[in-house]
Amino acid sequence: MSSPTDAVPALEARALTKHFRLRGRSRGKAVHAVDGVDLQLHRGAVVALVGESGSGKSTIAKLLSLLIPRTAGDIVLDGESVHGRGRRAFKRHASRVQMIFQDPFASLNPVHTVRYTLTRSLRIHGVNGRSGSLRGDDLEAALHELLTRVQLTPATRYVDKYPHELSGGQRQRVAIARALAADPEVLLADEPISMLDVSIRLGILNLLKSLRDDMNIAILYITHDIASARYFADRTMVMYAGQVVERGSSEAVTQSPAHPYTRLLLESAPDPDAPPRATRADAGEAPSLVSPPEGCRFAARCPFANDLCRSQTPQLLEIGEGRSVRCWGYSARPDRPHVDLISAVAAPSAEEGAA
Amino acid sequence: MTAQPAQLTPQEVEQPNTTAGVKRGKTDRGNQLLFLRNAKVISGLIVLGFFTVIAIIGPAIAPYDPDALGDDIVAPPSAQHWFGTASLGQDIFSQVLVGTRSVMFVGFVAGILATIIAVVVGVTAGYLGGAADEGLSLLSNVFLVLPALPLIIIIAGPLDGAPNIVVAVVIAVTAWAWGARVLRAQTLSHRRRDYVEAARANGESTPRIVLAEILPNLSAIIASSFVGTVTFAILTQVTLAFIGVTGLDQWSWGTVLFNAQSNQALLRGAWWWFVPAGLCIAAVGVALALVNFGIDEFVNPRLRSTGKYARALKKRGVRARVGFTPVDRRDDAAPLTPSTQKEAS
Amino acid sequence: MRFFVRRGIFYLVTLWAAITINFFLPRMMPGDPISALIASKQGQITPEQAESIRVLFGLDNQQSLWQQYTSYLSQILHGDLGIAFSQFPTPVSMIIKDTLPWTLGLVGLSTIIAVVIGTSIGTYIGWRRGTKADIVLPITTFFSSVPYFWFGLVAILVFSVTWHIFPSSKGYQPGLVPGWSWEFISSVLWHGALPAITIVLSSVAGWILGMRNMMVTVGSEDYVTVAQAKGLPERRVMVSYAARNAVLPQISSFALALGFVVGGTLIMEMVFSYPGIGYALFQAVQAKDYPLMQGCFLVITLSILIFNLIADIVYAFLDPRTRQEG
Repeated sequence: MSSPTDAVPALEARALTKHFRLRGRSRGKAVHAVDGVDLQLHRGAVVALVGESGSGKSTIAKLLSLLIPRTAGDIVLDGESVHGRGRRAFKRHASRVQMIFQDPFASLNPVHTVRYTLTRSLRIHGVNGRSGSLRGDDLEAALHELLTRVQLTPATRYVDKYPHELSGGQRQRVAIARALAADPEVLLADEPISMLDVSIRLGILNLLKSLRDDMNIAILYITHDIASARYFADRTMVMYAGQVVERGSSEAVTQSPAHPYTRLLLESAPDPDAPPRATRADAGEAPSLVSPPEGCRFAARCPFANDLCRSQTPQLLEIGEGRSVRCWGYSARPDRPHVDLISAVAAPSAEEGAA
Repeated sequence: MTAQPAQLTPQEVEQPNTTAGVKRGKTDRGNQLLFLRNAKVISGLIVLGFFTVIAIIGPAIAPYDPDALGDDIVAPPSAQHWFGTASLGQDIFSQVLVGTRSVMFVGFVAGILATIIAVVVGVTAGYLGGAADEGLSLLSNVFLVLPALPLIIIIAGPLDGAPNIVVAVVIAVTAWAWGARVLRAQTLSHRRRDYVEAARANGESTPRIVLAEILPNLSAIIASSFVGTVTFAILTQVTLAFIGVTGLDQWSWGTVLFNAQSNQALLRGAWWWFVPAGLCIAAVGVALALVNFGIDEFVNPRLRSTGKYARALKKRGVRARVGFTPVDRRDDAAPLTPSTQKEAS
Repeated sequence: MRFFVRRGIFYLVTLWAAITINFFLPRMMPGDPISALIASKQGQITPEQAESIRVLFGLDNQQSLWQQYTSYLSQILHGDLGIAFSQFPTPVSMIIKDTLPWTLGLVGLSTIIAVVIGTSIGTYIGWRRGTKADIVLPITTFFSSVPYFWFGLVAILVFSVTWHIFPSSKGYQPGLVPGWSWEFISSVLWHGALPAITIVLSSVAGWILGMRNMMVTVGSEDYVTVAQAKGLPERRVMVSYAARNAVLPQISSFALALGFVVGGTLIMEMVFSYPGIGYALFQAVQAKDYPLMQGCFLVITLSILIFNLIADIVYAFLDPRTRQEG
């Protein structure tokens, strides 16, 4: 596993912020979709971004691929700040940072064959630095190679198909092939397997793993399923209401979660082996992103929250090697809440009888 | 092969047993041919083709000069005059033949021009959004609300016998708004879809996205809009000729009717004077409507599936109702697949 | 409330567009027939009338285009549409005042009948898809493919000439004194019946088709299924649940279709010599009476805009969603 501290990150976000301005009656207010997010993607490593709907994770992907302009903060590609203003700058960025979408059917144009979709991608990005467009045998060879790399073989069987003639998993592989045609350094995978059947999810994840290992691509894996993050990612970041609330190696975050929200996510993943345990009452919903609450955004749902949490927003605090949490419970303040981290997960509590 | 997502597409409804591994493009070409095999479409296209041929060769094969005077005055149809004669002995059959050209020409040219304008305005408004969209939408809405016929009359009227091409342009300028509105709505819907975002993320340029990605998805709507506009243009051309706006030297079916009206054909009981021209108009109108229905059924999977299965269900004594899934309670009921009944007409 | 303001502004913009088109058209046409007409009527025309014609048609070249435009606007807004050359020296506005009520009556009545019949039939057909009721569709399509006027001609031939049921032309029996007497009113109704019937038959196909398509869409929605599952009588579901929702787009398309109906009514008046504004327009075209032509266009446009506004109000009243959007 590569350490995140060596090498310059392939793609980095610094204090990335996105506020969507509202029109109509609520003019002047904005949806705080993403607030001050720091992110590093290194080649040959996978970072998982976990959160529920509305947490801002898809927005981050769109910001990193420059599909939408950012409100504040910086995006750094290979050490250089990027803006993507202007066609050429955007195209340069696109040839190094590619994206895979959630819905495999919707992300492929239904009227175009696989051949057309992949050829366009090859032609736009000029494979292997060739300036002339690919034709004839060269094109066939390139298409063949792309399809082989995403394990759609024999390539001739798939190359002239329309999206509706392929299964969900096959479509997603075509989408990945389209991204690979640009020979990117970074792959932003926005919930690539959520809409696929459970039985084929593993295949796609393994394909992405092989891309990380063989082609040394940096991958951002966005998901709401924290269990798959443990399987697939080297590092995991947990997002809530537009902010990062916990980050660390996947093993550490999923095995010993520090933030109450992470623990909530893990608890809600059904585990047939665990003994039935009492679930703490989880009252409340995700906060409104239009006027975020004054204090910690998770306070309304947090079983440990106290007045400090409700009045002041915590910053990300380092609690170990490459590990940080956004929670007052880990600070040294005398008025911090008492966060009961260990006992609820490991030891069966006395409330078990009430389950 | 694992199950496909639940999105209903025309192709999926048609071919629920698709397997990967079929030869190149067979199912899709099959769908295109299915559209053509639709009996409505075929009959419509045949009628249109017939009139197009007449439009081209009409003046050449007409037995008489439409303006030529003759001896038989207001005579009913006979061997020499298939459609009878007019008040000064002119042969009505020749008039109708020669008149076909103006009607078909104006109809199709106006249709093409109006569709081009509609595509440019509608797709641009839908894709760009913002101020461009507001402005273009306002323009389309204004033209949509302004009454077309009076507007055409006051533009073409003073021109005193305008040539066909001018009439076609005037009609196109007043008739594009409806198509533009529909296309704008469709473009807005497609623009938000993932495949457009994916193309953008891939680095595709905006002109290519609009022309090569979105436009092919709109082809059915554009075709339908074109047919509708042609219908309107033909009816308008005939109407203008009937009122006398287009000038009496340009023969049109409407001119025949104009003459009929001004010479009291009705009161004289000279039905042959205006019935053939009217039937021709109706025939072309119906043919265009049939083609439009065919396109409609091809595009809207709900219309297609309910109609197609409904007939087969009726044979089994089950009445198809929209919204209901038909249940066949007989013991010997066989599964309902597309192959167990003939193709929908 | 904002909804109405937006629509109101839109209609004002459209009216302005119509007036502006009227302003520019004569100035773009080749030749200048107006001056000749004025010259021919030299003795009979008063200086005020001559002036108003000049303003309408831009014959006063000493003024700049902008000045012409402003004086044109003010003249129009004062209701002065010029003098009708073909019916000299009657002012255009007076002709329109006499003819408009006839048209409104005919259009209004026929459209309401067509909408009611068409929507009812469309509801029924849309509900029972794939049955014999479908045959209605090709029949009515045939009727709507035929231009209004041909239909009118045939109707006259059949019902007037051959079978002397209805009169073939005019709005009422010539010779009768217009008034509120039963004799007059019955004559009006009798004369208006044939034109109304032909308009209804011609336009009903559009309503049937639109309603049927909407019923197909709405019928497959979940709330209809729930209503059926609850065990409500079928007619109740068809009318109160499905049709109630399917009819909404019909109302908004009613407003748009109005333009076409008005156009068709114009032709019908020409066929039947019905004394409405369409007939006036027809005569104006024949006589190359430009002031009358343009005046008719403006008034027709204004009527359509007002109808649209009424339809918008009705729609907003019926569909709670529009009221919320503001």
